[in-house]
Amino acid sequence: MPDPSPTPRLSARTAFGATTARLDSLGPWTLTERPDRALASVAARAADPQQVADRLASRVGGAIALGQLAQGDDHDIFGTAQNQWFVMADHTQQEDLARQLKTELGDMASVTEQNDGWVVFNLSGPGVCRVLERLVMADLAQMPDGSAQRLLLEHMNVVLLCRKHDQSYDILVARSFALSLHHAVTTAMRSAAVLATPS
Amino acid sequence: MIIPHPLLGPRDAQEFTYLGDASLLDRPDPDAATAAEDFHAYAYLRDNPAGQHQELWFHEQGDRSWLVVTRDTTTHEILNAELARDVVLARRAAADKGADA
Repeated sequence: MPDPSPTPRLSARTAFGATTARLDSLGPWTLTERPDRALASVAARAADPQQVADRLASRVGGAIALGQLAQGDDHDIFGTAQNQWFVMADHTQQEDLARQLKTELGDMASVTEQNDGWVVFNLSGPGVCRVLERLVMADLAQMPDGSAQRLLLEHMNVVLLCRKHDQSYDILVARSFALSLHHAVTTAMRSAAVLATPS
Repeated sequence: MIIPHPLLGPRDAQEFTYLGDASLLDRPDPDAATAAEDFHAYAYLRDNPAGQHQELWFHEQGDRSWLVVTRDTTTHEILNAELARDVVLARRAAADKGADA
């Protein structure tokens, strides 16, 4: 019997209501929306936080210290607080990331799917700290490759991940702040780009 | 003001919310005979020292931990910061030790 259900008409939209990701180039810098990232949060329950930490560490081949971004083959994991982590993966490959983690960790941890709760942006280009220093209260010079900090950007709570110092940073923000974050970052990019142009 | 977070290093005070005197960690025993007076003092009475003061700060825009910060109220110098969790657990351990002895 043929499938009587109608052809699905739902299509994925980005946080900006568009079908393609935002990409803004200003001066030497580029801000890219990354809807292709899957996200899940993991909070260890009281019984055995060390075992949860060890299981997560095995996915990235090493212990994950708070404030550090551990990059594995299929996963990026960073600590957001004591006994609490965010796991990132490719959305096309692992849309069910949260379910996988919950199956593995069971009652040891609480896992929450964050795919559509957060938006991931990548800000890159040479000397990109000149843009970021206008936005965040962090000692960017002291943030080496692979560091992760949760902090304030204007009025928004964001996670800042340093992929490559002064070159490439990921910024995670709650999805409802996508427009505000985009506005704040592009404004800073524009302003830093104007100053960089020799008159 | 920069607060030296015990786990995250120096962080801007903007990321924190201030609650008040760290004596709020010592909630009185509700079953004690003097509970009414104890709770009145706990809720309403505060010392107002000029000098070292222990207070509770919440890292709201960071890892959402509670800290016990020792601050000099005359200079705003931050002398120490520890996780409130560690402070409470250490006190409980000390109290249990005292009860056993």
